Amino acid sequence: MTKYAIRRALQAIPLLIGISFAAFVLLRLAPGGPMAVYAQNPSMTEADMRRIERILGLDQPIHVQYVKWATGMATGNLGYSYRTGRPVGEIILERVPATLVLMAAAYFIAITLGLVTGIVSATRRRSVFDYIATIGAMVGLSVPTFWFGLIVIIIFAAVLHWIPSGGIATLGAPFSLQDRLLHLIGPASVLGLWMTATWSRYTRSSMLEVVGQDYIRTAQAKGLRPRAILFRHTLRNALIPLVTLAGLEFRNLFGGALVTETVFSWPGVGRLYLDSLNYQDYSVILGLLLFTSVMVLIGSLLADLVYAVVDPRIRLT
Amino acid sequence: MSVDNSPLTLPSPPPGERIKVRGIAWAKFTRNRLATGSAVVILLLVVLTVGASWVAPHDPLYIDMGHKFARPGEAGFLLGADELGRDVLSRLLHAGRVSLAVGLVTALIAVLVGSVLGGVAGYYGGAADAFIMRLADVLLSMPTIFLLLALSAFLRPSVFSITLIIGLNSWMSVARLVRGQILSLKEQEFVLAARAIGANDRRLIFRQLLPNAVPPVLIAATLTVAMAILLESSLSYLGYGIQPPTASWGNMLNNAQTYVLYAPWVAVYPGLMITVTVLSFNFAGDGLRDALDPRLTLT
Repeated sequence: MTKYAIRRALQAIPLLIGISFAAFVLLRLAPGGPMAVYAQNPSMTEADMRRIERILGLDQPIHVQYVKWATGMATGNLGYSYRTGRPVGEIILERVPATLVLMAAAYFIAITLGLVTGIVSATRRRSVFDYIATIGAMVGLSVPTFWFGLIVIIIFAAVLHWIPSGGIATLGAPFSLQDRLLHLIGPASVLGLWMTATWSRYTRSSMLEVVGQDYIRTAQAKGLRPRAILFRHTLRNALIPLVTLAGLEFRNLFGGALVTETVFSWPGVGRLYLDSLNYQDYSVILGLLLFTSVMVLIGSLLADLVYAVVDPRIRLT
Repeated sequence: MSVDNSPLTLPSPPPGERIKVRGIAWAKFTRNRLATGSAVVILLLVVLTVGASWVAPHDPLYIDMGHKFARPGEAGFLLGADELGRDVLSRLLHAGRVSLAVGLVTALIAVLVGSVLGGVAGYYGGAADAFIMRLADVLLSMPTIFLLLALSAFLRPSVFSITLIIGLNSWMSVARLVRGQILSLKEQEFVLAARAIGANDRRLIFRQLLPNAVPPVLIAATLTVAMAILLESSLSYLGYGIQPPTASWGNMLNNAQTYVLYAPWVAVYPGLMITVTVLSFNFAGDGLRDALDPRLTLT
């Protein structure tokens, strides 16, 4: 197992290099590029621009720049913000907890709700519930996140006053868990909605797949109670492929989080990214692009490892 | 070589067989009420938005501050007016043209790029395969919206550039599908037969192998349209997609948050249009999947 884990981690390294190179080159080649933020300042002369370029090392060939940036990154130095001069790593890290809380809450909502809906749908196949759940899941996948967020704000914040319309906590108020949770409900449900849809669909089809297996027929032939078959045989096997889904969802989750954080003014990495784009704070953009990609990689790596642990049929070689 | 004129080049199934398969697929698709309904909705949307210039009651760009935030039904504004007194219905129709075009062209780009890259990867294998599939892995590891935002922030966003960057980020699933299909097909007898007759690589890929990948690619293309419309609307909502004054369903919601409380119609309708359109493409894609799945028979 350890050997397998190490090998999978090593396989991720070339991918990581590829991602960092792609991100670096893409942004550097884009017109405007890292100097865009300075070019907008009218008091900048051509000579000033050249000097800044030299100080930042932007006058060097691109592969030299990349190697310099990549070695800095490997030692934990992501560079400094063009806007505030603070270390990029520090700026990102202070936004991570908010995003993690939001994502964890969304995962929680999606997994509980999605699993229950999927299981009921699969056990009562072609019932009214199944029909409604299937259509509901499709609607959930088709609603634009930002618009759903707006609707939630209109109904639950503006009209009913059940939840605040944005932010992570009441401004100026001392820390209180209740206040935090109240602020969390809106964005977490919005972010969790389409994930719930995916989870219920995958659970349903995974369950139906298992129900058709011979060992379920054997269990039925033995005269096991339906409840025991459902929980001990069908569900346990049907849940295994869903581990992969949890890992795959991670990439979409970041995109969803960015939009949700914008709608609900949630101070996470997504908001930071959008703010950095607005200010053309180049080094933060690059750092965040890399940070989120690394998280996605780690997510799929973890999913693979957990999969190997929970599915005894997988032999690690 | 005179191979191309040889009557033996295409070992196709007997014509009757083909029609039967297509007939079953058609029957299965039309039996699915959600899928046919969705196809009709899509057709209707295309007709209405393509004909927006004739259908729309007002000029979508005409500013009429006297009717700022006119309520739906008031002063000839069927769905109300926005913060500049522009007719929401007319803007929806014109915006739909942009949003649908972005979605459809994106799917086209994804299919073209994905088929070629997937075909090359699957057919030649080796270094080409490794390079293309690692490229796909890299793109699939970066959160889409983050990447698209960065690209469009540093490019000058236009309908063309937005379509292009979404398209160039959407070919991976098609490429994987095509590659898998080709890998499993290329050692089969009909390909070996065509090769024995002397067909060259290009002919083998385009005439023998790719046609077999059409059903899964068609499904993926339909779902890509849905995804692209959602992506474009998110980008435009965030201010990095289609730029005003050109309307798209996403950018109509751009400032909606500020006045959503006293003029909800400005925010509600564009979102509804996106949802209905994306939902239709998703249902149609699902219907296609059921219809084209050879394992399922008409029951």
